[in-house]
Amino acid sequence: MNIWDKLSSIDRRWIFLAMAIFVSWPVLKPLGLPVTTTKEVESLYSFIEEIEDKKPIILALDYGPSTAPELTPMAKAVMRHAVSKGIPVVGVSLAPDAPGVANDIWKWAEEELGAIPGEDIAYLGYKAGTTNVILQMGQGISKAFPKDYYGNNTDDLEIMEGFESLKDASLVLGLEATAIMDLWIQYAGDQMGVPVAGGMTAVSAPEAYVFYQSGQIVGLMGGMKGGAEYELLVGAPGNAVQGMDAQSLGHIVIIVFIIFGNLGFFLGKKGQDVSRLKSLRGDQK
Amino acid sequence: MKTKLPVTIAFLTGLFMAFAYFVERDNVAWVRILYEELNQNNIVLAVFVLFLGVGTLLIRHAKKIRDKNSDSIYSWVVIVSTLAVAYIGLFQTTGESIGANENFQWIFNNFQVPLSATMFSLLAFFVASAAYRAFRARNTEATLLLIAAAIVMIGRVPIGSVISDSLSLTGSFSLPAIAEWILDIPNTAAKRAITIGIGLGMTATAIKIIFGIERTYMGSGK
Repeated sequence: MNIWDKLSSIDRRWIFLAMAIFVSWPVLKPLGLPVTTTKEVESLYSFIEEIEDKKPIILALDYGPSTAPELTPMAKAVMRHAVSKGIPVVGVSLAPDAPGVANDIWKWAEEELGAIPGEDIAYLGYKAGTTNVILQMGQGISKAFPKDYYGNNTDDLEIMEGFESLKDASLVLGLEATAIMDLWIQYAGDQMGVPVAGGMTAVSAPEAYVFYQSGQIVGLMGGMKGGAEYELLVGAPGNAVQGMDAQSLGHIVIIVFIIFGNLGFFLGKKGQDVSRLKSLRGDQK
Repeated sequence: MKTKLPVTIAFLTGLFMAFAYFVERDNVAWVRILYEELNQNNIVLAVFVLFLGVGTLLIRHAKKIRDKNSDSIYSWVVIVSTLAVAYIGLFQTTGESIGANENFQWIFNNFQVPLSATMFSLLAFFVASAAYRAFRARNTEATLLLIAAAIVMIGRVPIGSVISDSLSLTGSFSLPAIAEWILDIPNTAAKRAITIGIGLGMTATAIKIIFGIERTYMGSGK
């Protein structure tokens, strides 16, 4: 077995070890790689910056703990921005494992940002029914959520003054790990005319570019990078900016191993056998 | 009757919901009231689906335990943890909301968060291993996919800018700009085609259900 054959048959445990080392290293010793902003995130920032009538932002937290490292920095950065501008934030969830994550974010906003529950922020909790819940919010917020997550009557909250239905919101920001984003766009955006924006996991984000181009969403944050960009725009680098070094090296590790695999495939015995077979087939034709 | 009744209900509700979508509901009282009522009923149905899911899960695992399956220890874990969380949610929140129940949040933070984070973190390792074994430039299509994936992976993280600067790739030729172009143009074109295709397919299926041509949802397949 020559070196090229060895390159095409590396034991996967070496790949796991390399990944572990290169992802852990920048966490222990940050590299400080520069994060640049993209137009999709900048347009969301500008949209929130230009909200003048102090109508609430609906923060749809439709994700569980598995995708929290990607999406929670987005939620915190947007909440920081909104609270600093005096824009109320009302949270809802259409995913059953979301309230635990949202509860931690709401406690963080109270402690870190000094947001007053019921006045600056409110979390209404989870309700089953996805599409129908969005439609019901269009008929009346308190129809869909008569009480908030903490047991208060929704209509009694100060934040709800003048905020009767979803149509009164200044923006719906969907933080999504699933296809619920499409429903916010279809019903809140296209049907009710409420501006919609997205914060999605890196895997799902490419699917939303089509909606950004068509103007159906006013901004898009994709993966941890999107969160890092927003953190920089609000001037408060946090977990997402810190995580970008680890993600950079993780991607480099994957690409290096892909290159190894291809070198082994083309220059090793197996690859040469395949090309010989192909040329033989060509000769037969 | 067993067939006619569900088909009639599907026909009437389907036709009404399509009609209600295009009508100014606030101006037509009966449309608004019926629409809101159907919406509310759908939410109630969704809650029953959750019950059905939990019930099916428990029955399936109870059967595994009864049959003394070799993996029945895991079925015990599923049943005990489901019932424990349900007990805390249902019986320890009397007079208060689930949000004020600290035990519930404690279970979430100390069980679900680390377990979900562990499962999702493993993806980094398995994706690396799978990419190494599967991403081979065997033909033109695979080569294009490989190049596009590599550019997007590098261009979407900060090290992409560093590599571009060190190779003097600026403006439209920098890795982040090329990654952005791939996402904006080829990705969007493909996604739009898929979305429109799905939309047309959904419309066709909806029409078939409304007019009783498609009846497999009743379970008979006829």
